[in-house]
Amino acid sequence: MQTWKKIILWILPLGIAIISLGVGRFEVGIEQLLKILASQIIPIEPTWTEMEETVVINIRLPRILLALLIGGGLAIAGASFQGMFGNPLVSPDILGVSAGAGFGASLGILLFGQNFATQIMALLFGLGAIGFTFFIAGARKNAPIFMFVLAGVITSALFNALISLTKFVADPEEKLPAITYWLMGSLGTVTYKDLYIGGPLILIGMLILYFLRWRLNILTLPEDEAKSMGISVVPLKWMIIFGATLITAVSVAVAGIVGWVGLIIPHVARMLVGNNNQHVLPMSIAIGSVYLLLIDNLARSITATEIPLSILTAIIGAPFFAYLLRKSGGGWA
Amino acid sequence: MIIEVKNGNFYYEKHRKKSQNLYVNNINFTLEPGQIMAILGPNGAGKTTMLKCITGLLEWKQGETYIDDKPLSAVKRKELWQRIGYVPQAHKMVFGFTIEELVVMGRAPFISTLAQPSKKDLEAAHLALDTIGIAHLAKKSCNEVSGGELQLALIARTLVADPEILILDEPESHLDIQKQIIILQTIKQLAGERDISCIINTHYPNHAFYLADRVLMTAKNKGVVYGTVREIMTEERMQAFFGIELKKILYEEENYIVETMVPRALGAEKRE
Repeated sequence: MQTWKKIILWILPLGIAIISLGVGRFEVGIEQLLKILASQIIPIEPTWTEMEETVVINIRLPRILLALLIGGGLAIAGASFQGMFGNPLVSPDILGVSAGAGFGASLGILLFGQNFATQIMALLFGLGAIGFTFFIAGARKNAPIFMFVLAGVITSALFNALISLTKFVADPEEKLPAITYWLMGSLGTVTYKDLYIGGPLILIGMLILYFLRWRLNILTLPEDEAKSMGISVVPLKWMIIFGATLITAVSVAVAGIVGWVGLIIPHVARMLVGNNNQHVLPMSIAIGSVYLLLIDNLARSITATEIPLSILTAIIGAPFFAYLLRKSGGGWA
Repeated sequence: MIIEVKNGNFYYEKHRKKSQNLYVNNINFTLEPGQIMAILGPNGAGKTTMLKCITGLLEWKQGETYIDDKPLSAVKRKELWQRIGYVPQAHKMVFGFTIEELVVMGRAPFISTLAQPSKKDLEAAHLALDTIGIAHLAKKSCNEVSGGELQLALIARTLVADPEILILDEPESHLDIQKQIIILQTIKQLAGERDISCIINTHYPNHAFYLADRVLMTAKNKGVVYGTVREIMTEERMQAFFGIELKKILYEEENYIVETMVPRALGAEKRE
């Protein structure tokens, strides 16, 4: 990989994160911003209002960090699944995690309203959905990979129907909008609690996938060929499924369903660095985190009310990807 | 390394019911270092299944493979694949890795699960590409190169692990005749220079004549025979196994003799 690409990889998310702290309806100048940040580490005589510090440190900082983590996490999970399933059209929710977690959250909102219990339910149902997928697909020993994809489609269909059911019975004044809004994804309500609980889990998932990135190259080959490289194919697949599922389920629990990032970002990464997953995975983290952060900045600053993330990831992502696709003719794959 | 199969046989299970044995009689052979064995037979004879059973990718339902007198089941997978190289038929890949990236994958048995290939592994890949004579293709995508070049790269991928046995599944069957010859010559050279034993699937009798020290011939419902090329590849047996009459031809070049077989039916129409 060329040096400039490596620089983008690590500098860009950091730089944009700092700039993002100043972006929003409530204006904070860049000088004040840097001073506020510095004052967290070294003592500085405050030249800013308490309000400014609260907005930057307590509201924007956890939100920005979670946008980076979730964007990068979904992108690396998508890239890993695309490699493992040997199919560039796969996204991290292929095995039914998002639908399951979405139902958990809908049910939670219906029963308890929007609080921590709802997030726990999203996480549990997300993991439960994966379990269900494996129950369907794993009836036979050594089930071929398309069985898992089909089982995932079935699981998704089932849980999507259950989501519709909760919407159908939900109170249309209060609960229905909350469910609908939640299913479109938002970082509007995140706090440090989300960051402290969700952050480490997403990081664990990302680390697992990151370290397995070269092995993932071998997993894209037909199974017998992969085995003939002396690797244990089945445990390896389990580890990748575990890592990607953990990231996706936690992301949905924290921010609702954020579409498109996991599907599209790996392709953009491949256009830049080729097909070797040793480079594709880190690049996906870098681009995915920046992408979701920029989208979230727009979501919270374009209008007075927040715009759901999935709307923007697609409205901005689709034309951009269409442009890349036309320009390259799909030639990177 | 000596590879030996004793009383091997296989059947498929469908709905938990065993179908009949795939091979009429059990498979027995011993292959010494540097020897080349051709598994010869028409389509549907179970040649690919046999390769998979020999290497443990499938389990024999009966009998066992032995590596230096040690049963395969007692050998660790990782150690086994450090010593055996498997060359599949060249196929299109979903993700177009470069030839270099493809070849370095062969180092996997020596690289721990969480690690990345080192400089040494990359050097081994380049050395293997040099040996096979396709170093100039290192940076090309494996979906851009020709079928013959990709097949050579797949052979190079096994060489990075310095194998003692190569298992090749019809490596030449989809290639044009010039590429076929290059593949065959490469295999023969590797066996001769590095004492690598080779087991190669083919349905071309001529390739067995050129390459093989031993032939294992099989066909559906015909049984399995094993021996030297001379013993096995007679006109009568070829007719029985392939269902077509072949004429064995010997002719002299300057300082060697070429053995080949041609189908008699071709040309018969012209005599009328």
